[in-house]
Amino acid sequence: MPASTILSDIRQPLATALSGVAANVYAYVPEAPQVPFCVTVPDSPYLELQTINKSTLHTKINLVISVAVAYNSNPASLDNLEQLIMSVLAVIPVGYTIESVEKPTVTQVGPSNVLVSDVRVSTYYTQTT
Amino acid sequence: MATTVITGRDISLSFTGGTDIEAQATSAILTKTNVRETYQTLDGEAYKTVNLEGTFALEMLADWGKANSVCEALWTAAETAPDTDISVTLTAATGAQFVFPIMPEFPTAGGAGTDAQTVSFTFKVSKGAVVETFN
Repeated sequence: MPASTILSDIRQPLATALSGVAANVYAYVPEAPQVPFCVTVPDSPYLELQTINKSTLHTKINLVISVAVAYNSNPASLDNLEQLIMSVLAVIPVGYTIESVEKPTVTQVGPSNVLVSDVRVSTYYTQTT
Repeated sequence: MATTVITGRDISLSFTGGTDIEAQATSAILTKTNVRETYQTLDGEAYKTVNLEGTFALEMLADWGKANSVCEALWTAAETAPDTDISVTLTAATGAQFVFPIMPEFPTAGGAGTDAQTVSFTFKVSKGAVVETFN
């Protein structure tokens, strides 16, 4: 078994850094997330091999932090989402590159609608044994 | 016969000092050239190679602050022993190894916006002295 995993070295530290924001934070996709929430999920392409050599796996990892708030009133929801996005951007740890923030969209999660925006981040991971 | 294709991922690379260069390097290219004079004679062109030169182009992700940092090791070497060779071993693929000395250069520091900090070097290979091992 490897000593490190993407979950332990990349996704969980990101979720831990995000734990200070005023939202429910998940390092995986939960069945029924409670708004407001931040979910870290893989982006596409997920893993990009950019460094030389293959004796050890070095890869760029692309992730999406889906930031969502309740969608009740459009102006208030957008304001809430913008504030949550700003608080997320402020706590993304060293070593993670912020690629972009996608436009907000309305998505149905369970019985309710949420306003979601994707924050695209990337970082580098080295597999250790 | 099957066509051979090797990629950058077939490369292995090491510096004297043992810094973890492979985890940071995104591109490593050794270039060795003959410096060839051309003479126009009554019989036509004649050639004479008068020198050998080499360069080693390295692109890497900056690793300032990391234990065994490549950037910090190169900065220190460029500052304290600028004319002392660093030995580099580059294996292009299994069976093709190149060992050569480079002169240390200062890495750049800093980056742009939210991009990853990167460093690009073009090292001079001392005296173009590349020792190759093909087997």
